[in-house]
Amino acid sequence: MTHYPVRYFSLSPEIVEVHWPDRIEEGILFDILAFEKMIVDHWSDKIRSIHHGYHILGIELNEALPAKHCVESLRQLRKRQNSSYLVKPMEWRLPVCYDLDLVPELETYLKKKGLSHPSFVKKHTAPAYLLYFYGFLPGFMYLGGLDKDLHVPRKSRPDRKIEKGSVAIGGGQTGIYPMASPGGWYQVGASPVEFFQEGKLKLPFRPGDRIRFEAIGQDAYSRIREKQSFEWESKAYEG
Amino acid sequence: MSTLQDPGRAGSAASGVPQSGPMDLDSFLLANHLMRREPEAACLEIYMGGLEMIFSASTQLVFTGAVGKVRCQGHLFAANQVINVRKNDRLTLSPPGAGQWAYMAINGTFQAEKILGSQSFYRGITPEEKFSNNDQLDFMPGRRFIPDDQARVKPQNFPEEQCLRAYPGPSFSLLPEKAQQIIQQHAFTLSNSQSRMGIQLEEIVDNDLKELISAPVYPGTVQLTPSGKMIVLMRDAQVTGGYHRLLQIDRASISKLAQIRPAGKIRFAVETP
Repeated sequence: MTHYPVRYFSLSPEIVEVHWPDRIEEGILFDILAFEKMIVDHWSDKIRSIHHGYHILGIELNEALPAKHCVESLRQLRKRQNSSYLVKPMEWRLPVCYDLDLVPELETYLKKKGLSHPSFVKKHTAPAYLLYFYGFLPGFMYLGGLDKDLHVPRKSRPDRKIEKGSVAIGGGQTGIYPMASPGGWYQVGASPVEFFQEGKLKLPFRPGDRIRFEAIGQDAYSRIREKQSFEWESKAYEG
Repeated sequence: MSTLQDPGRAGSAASGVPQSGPMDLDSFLLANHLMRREPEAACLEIYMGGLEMIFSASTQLVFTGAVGKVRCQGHLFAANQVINVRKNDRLTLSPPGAGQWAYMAINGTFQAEKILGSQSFYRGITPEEKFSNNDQLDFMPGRRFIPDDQARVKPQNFPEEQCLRAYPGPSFSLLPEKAQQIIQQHAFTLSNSQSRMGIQLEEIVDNDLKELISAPVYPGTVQLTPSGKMIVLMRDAQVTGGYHRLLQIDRASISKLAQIRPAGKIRFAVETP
């Protein structure tokens, strides 16, 4: 595992951050996750919230601490970071229906990109997407690994409502809308899986995990939607 | 608009769930203090008054924050005063003369499911995102009667210009010296674009900063958009954002800012943390 150089940044007396080099990179993610795990293990009583983006880990403290003291403790902790904190990623299959009847907007997208339906489905289901973090909406995954051929500029005028379960593409990103939301992405698929069960957010995947989209037909889509729960299939990610 | 708010669900940021919690935390804590409740107890948060309530049981209440006239069965009550209501009483709260957010603590416990450790309303997380007309809010009555003390906490003032304590964000030093000075010396105007998520400021800060990859944001983060608009994130802010982070205002300043109406002014007192 790469041990990247980091900088410490006190954003306020209550917020301290660790900054990695500013790029989107798998190695950076796993280094962040390992350090995060270590901080939570050692500081759980001091932390109000902890979360990260692509290259920044942010820690909100329960009480205002002298920033210098906090940064020094983090520096000491970082020195002791070792491979025992490395997270072990899982791979998950997530069913997605790409039928044009169900997802009429896919037609617009395919025309825009000059892609055939089968070749689009093949390219979209090929990667094991890397989950970097959740943001934007509760349960919205920032996934890495979208095929360059599938990138599309975001709509200049966002739609008022992208439906729950929509699988969409915007810029160089693809993701699933866990709840309805306005947005400027193109809907290219529909997942029947609920991220909310009995109103509660249930997220089986953790940052570092891999997500594979599995193309299903409309029958399977309807069957899964009717069921109250979904049996997640996962295995250790082998790369 | 009214919602239930408690200190929120900070612990769920890693799942992309906003913290939520009271816009004016100080007034919220005062309400619980006056009602002799624990600081984590949920209160009713009311935006700009204009509310009528009918009680189906006797209880005690207190309003704090931006409180307009409180009328109950022909009597007038002030902010920060313990009010005894009886079964079938009708209580009205008119819009406040200054400020925006009021809190109502009850001698008892509001009955709403805790989701991810909090009763704070948030779209998609809780069954309701705000109360609607004729909604019923259940409460479990408290066991102790709260005597109306002689000594009363004076109602707060809500000036339309406030100085906020701020710390430089990672992008602050990337701005030209001139822009840095403007941010520290000028007053900024609150726009009409205000919600529990954030408050946009009117003035433009010209910048040619490069695009960023998404990074954590928090309530109190001051973002700068490519078009030069500044947005101060509030309690329901997203957990990550792609805009430049210019400043971080402290927790007490978030409460002060929340009470300033559109067209009000703020100044940033920038210091090192």
